[in-house]
Amino acid sequence: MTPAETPVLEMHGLTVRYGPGCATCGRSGWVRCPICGTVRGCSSVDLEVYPGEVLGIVGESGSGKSTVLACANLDLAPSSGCVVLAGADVTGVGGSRRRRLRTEVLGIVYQTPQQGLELDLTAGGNIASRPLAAGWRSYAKVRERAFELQSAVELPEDRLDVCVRDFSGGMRQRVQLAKALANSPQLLLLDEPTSGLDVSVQARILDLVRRLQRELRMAMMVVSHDLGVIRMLADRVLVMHQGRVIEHGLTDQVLQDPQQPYTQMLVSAQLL
Amino acid sequence: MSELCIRELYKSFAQYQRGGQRLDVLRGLDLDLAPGSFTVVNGPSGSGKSSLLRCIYRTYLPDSGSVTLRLADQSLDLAAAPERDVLAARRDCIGMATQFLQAVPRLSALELVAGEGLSEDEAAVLLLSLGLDPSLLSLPPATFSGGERQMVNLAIALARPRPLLLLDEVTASLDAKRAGLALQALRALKRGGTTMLAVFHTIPRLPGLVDRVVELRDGRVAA
Repeated sequence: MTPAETPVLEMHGLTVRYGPGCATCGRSGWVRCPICGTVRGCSSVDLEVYPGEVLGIVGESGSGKSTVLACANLDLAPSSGCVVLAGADVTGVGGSRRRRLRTEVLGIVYQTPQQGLELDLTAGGNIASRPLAAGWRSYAKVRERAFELQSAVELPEDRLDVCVRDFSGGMRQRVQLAKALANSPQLLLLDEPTSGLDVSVQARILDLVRRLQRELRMAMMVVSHDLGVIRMLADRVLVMHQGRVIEHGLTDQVLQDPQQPYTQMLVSAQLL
Repeated sequence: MSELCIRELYKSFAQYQRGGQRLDVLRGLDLDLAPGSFTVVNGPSGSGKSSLLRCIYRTYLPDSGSVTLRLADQSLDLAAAPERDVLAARRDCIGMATQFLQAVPRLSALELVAGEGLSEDEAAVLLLSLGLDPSLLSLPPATFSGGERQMVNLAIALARPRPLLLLDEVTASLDAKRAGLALQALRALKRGGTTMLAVFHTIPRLPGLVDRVVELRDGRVAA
C-alpha cells in the first residue's frame, strides 16, 4: 500500500559493547558480562526511519536509547551490525566521509546545549558553523541563512550576536535546533530535547519541532524517557529495555494498548 | 461488496500489574459495512463498543482475526498490516473522532483544523457550521469546555474527507442544538458517500442518517 521508498536510516542487528569483550559475552544473555565486565549498550537493534516520518525511542535510563542515537550520529561504531544512511552502508566510517555525512545528511540536538554548541561563540556564529562546514563562503549568504533560521526557531532578532553562554536553557536549545536545521538535514536526531526545561518552554520547543518537521517533511528520530514528548512528536515508537527493543508499534497503540509487562509499567507510571 | 469486513475479531487485555489477569472484550466478532452506509454500534457500557472502533483504527492491537478495508483498487488487513501501511491508511482512508481531544499546546482551534489540509477560511466555515462561538476560533482548545473541544474534534475529523469514518460518542457533551448541527454535518457527509461506524449514547433520530443498528453482546454482534 505504501510506495517503496528508501529509508533515510536503517539499522540491522546493531550491537554495541562497552568494554574489552571476551569469548563468553557474545553468547550470554547478560547485560553485563560476569567474566570480563563488558556492558552491552544495545543488542540486535533493528530499525528503519523513512522520509517524513518520526520515530520515537522510549525507555528508562540505561536502556540503550542514547547508544542507538550515538550510532545513528556516527559518534560510535557498533561492535556488530550495520548502519545504513540514505541507502549507503556507513558502518564505522570516519574522517572526511563522516564529516560530510554529518554536515549534509544529519542534524542533531543534544540533551545538553554544551554538547552541541560552542558557548563562547555567538548564536549566529554557532548556527553559521554548519553552512561554513558545508562549504558556503559568502558572508552575506551565511548571515542571511542564520537570520532565516533564527526567526524559524523564534529567537529574538537582537540576540543573534550575543554569546550563547548568556542565553537561558530554552534559548540555548533553540540555538541548537537552528544549528541542526542549518543545512536542511534529511534526518534530525533529538536526544531528550526538552529535559531540564520548564513545561512552558518545553511546550514551545515541542510545538516548534513539530511544525518545522511537518513543513520540511524531514525524518526524525526522537529519544526520550518522557512519554508526553513521544506522544506529541512520534508516529511510531520503539520501547527499549536493557539494551533490547522489547516492543514497537504506532505511538497511540503502544501508549494505549501496551503489550509487554514492562511497557505497561512504563505507561502506567506516567503522570498524564 | 462490503467496504469494511471484520472476521473473527478477538481482543483481550492482559493486566500484568494485576498479576496477569486477562480481560476478554471482543470474542470472535464479525461485522460488514456496506459502502456509504451509516452503522450504529449499541450496547451497555463495557460491552466493547469503543474497543471495536479502536481495533479498527489500530489504536488497539487485535489478538487475532481480520479487519479488511477494501477500497477501489486495494485491500488492507488493518489487524496485521505493517505500521507504515496503517499510518498511510489513517492519512488517506480512515478517520476517527473520539470524545476526547488531544490538544496541542499553543495551536488555535483554527490552526488545528486547517492543519488537516484546509485553508483558514474553510476551517472557520466548518467550525462555525458546527456551532462554535466565533470568538473562540483563534484560541487554543486547551482552554475550551468539553462541548467546545468536541466540536473542534469533530471538525478535525470532517476536515479531510476519507472513505471510512469512525465516531466515538461525538455528540456526548454537546447541547441539543449543537448535537443537531453535528448530526446534520454527518448526514451531509453520508450523502457524499462516506461509510461511517458510530457509537452513540442515544441513537440519533435524524431522518436519513442511521441505516443499521447492531447490538454488541458478549463481545460479538448479537443476531
